[in-house]
Amino acid sequence: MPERRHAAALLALALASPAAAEELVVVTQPEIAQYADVLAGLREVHAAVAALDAKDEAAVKTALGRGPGVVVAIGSKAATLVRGAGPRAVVGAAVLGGAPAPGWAAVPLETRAADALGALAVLAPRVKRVAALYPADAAAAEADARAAAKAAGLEVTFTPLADLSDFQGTFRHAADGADAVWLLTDPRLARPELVKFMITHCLERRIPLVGFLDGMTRTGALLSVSADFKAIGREAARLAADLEAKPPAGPGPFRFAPGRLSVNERVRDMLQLGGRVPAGAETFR
Amino acid sequence: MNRPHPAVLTLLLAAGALGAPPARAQDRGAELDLFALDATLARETTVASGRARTIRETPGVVTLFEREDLLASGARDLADLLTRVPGFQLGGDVENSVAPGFRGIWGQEGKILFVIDGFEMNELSYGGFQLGNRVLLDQLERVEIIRGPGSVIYGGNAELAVVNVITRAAAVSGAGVSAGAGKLNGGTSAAYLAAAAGGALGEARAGLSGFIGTGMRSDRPYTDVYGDSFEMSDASRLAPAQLTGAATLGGLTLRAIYSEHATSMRDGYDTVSPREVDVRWRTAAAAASFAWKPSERLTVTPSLTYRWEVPWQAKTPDLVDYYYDVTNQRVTGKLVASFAPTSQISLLAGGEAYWEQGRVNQFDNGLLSFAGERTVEQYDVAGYAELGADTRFANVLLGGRFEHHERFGDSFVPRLALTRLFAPFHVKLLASGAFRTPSFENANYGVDITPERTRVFEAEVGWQASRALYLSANVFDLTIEDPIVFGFTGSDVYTNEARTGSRGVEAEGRVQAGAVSAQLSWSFYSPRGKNDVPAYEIPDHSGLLAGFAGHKVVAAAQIRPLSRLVVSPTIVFLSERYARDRLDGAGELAVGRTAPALYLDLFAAWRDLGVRGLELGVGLRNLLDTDVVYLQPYPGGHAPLPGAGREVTVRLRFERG
Repeated sequence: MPERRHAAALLALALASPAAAEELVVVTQPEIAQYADVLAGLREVHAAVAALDAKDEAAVKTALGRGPGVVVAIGSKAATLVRGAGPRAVVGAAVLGGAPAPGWAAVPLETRAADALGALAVLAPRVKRVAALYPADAAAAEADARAAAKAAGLEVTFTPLADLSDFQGTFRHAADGADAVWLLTDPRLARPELVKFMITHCLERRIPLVGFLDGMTRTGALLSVSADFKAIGREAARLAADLEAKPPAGPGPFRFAPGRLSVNERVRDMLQLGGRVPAGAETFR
Repeated sequence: MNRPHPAVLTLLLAAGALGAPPARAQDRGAELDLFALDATLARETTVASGRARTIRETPGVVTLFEREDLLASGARDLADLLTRVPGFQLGGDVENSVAPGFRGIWGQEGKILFVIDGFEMNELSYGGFQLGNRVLLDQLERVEIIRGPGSVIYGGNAELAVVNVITRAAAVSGAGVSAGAGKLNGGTSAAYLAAAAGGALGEARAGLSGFIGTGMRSDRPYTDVYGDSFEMSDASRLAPAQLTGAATLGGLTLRAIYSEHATSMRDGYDTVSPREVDVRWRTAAAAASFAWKPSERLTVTPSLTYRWEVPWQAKTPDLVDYYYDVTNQRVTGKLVASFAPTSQISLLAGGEAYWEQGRVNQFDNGLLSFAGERTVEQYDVAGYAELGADTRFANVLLGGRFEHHERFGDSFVPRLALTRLFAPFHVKLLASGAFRTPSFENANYGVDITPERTRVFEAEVGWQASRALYLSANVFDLTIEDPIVFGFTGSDVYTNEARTGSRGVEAEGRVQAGAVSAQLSWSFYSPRGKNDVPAYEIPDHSGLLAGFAGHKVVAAAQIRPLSRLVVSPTIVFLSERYARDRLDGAGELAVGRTAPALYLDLFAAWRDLGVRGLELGVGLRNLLDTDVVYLQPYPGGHAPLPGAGREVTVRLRFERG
């Protein structure tokens, strides 16, 4: 499967003509399968795409020199390359969401917070108090999560993670008294030993864990909402079109794409949560 | 010691890594880290492991300590930790050594398996693993203790229990250093430096963890059964050093360990030695394994391990009784397959073979041999399987291990476990066989020695009364047929005796309420109707085996009055103990009584002390200054070995991750 994605991406690159005015300029790393999916999703919305390989810095400079209004950068390496080249607006796609900045918009790797909380409400309707852990520098994701928590009417306690030097203590403290633990996307928490610790702790305490990777669900999280790369691509195309029409005056918007929901049915049975599996969820036992 | 110590290099490397500023997530392409970790999780989580198990469902009686538990406990090493685990007590033995007993049974020679980062650490000469300032907890990630046999998976030595230690080498991301010291009346009781560093680069990951230290067993006098004595503060050194490393790339895992335990002693076997003698254990091992996942439901893992060791090394040709200088080696190949044809059924099957050799280092002096030869070699092959099935009525695990040893023939041990979680209760019914193959020296000094065989029946019930309160209790019935027993009839001799064993209860309660976590446990064993070994009997006290208290109670708490402050009191109570640890008027070994004892430890740690990641801990160990004594659980002529009195400790830890 990845080979096919690579082939598609490489073919797209080969066919890309120099950036024309009506084309959407995209800078990416085509060898990364997830980014190839983002590009594919982007093409579903915006057929005319000039995809440039971030490794070919000369071609990127040439294309940017033609003055496109909006450039989509897939991944942080491409984003770093493009941000210094001076297009009017940059859409970072599938990047980890930091703080919004002037001229910088994004469809981050983080998924829509409302998706996780919505799925949790369907699976575990009795959950009222949620402990949320998030990376301390992910301001946009935090803001989205706070808004989603408010909309859902849940009592969510947010704990920022600056470093993980006392993670076990921080996690236990956060989980104490909560009906569920919700992990916002943070690569540091995806380490297998930490995943195992968090899942063991939550299962022993009989509280559901909400993760951000399918692997977490397989391992024993109740549910995860993981990145849907094609959805990120589609959302990035729409955001680019919006910015082309009306460039942002200040910090660009961060739009969170919907994610893919997975549910561990065995954990659901074990925790006796009283809810049901949301439609469209991928299930594991 | 003039040569550079390998642990020092690690500590310096780890300390150097601390100086590096943390990279911002975006700068290092954290998305790619996430993709790599996603792939790793997908690879590591088979369907079988996806059937998430809690300790309450695990087919065994298990005690688990996570890193935070270890750090908050104030325990310094594995010996401290085991005294707090139900069923475990410590006994003393020759040459300033201390080892655990479990459920009243002495585990020194090969009955309790110690594993560090996947390496079996019991030495091959006698099968033991010495404790006391040996495995420092500062750089451990986790300790998993199976309180019951593990022979089906682990083979010999996992007869009574398995102590599985996971260092930070395989888990650390970032770096950390710690240093600690202890002060007894007689001087510095312990001082150590520990460090770990590691991280990931794409799908590759590597880590190192290590410590180096020194210390003493006791600041009290040792008096042998004949009345001679010496100050242990002058001759009971315990100096550990350990370095572990782990690296993974895709399915490939490379691991290595160097472990050293350098001691000094004058207690000898029975009479006080005329001078201090250095005794040293060294182990080095390396392993490579590859997890091949041909399908979502099948994982096949071949592995190869090489191990080298020099145990009990005392190069004292002038003191022939203590002289020991042997190098052992073992090469082990394994092939393990994990298959989950459906979400309810899992199968684990494996085959393994090892070749091992013991070799006398100085054969010319005529002081040591293996039945007159310089070397002894032997091989062993084994196959095992475990079938797990989740049914409507219970989770069922059925397994067995067949083993063929070149010298000791065939063994077969079965295992059956039924577990059922019906919240808020759980029930476990466990039946396990186990065996212990005689070690090199068991055979060398043995008379027609054969493996000992064990049967253990256990039942556990648990009740999660509320989120704050969890209660569990288990009963056990343990029988060892043909136990290998040490005796002295003018020279050392091992024989198979008829039978020994014990029955008993272990109960635990855990409370988590706000800023307070507390644990209370009670352990009880009795050998009534189970023990036919005269050496272990205590006349007029048929409810006890030599060396170990019938009752043990542990109460511990971790109180967090402030988010950054933890205060941890721990109380351990042992009821009276008996051992043949003195001489009667006729000069024969006679039973002595050690009074019930209460030990109180107090520890407090303050983290993020001015600087994020910096923690200061202070403690008072044995606050009541109770006499700590380790009794020899068999009539070997060794007097009670004193432990440490009241001790002030300090720990400074800095970690970035």
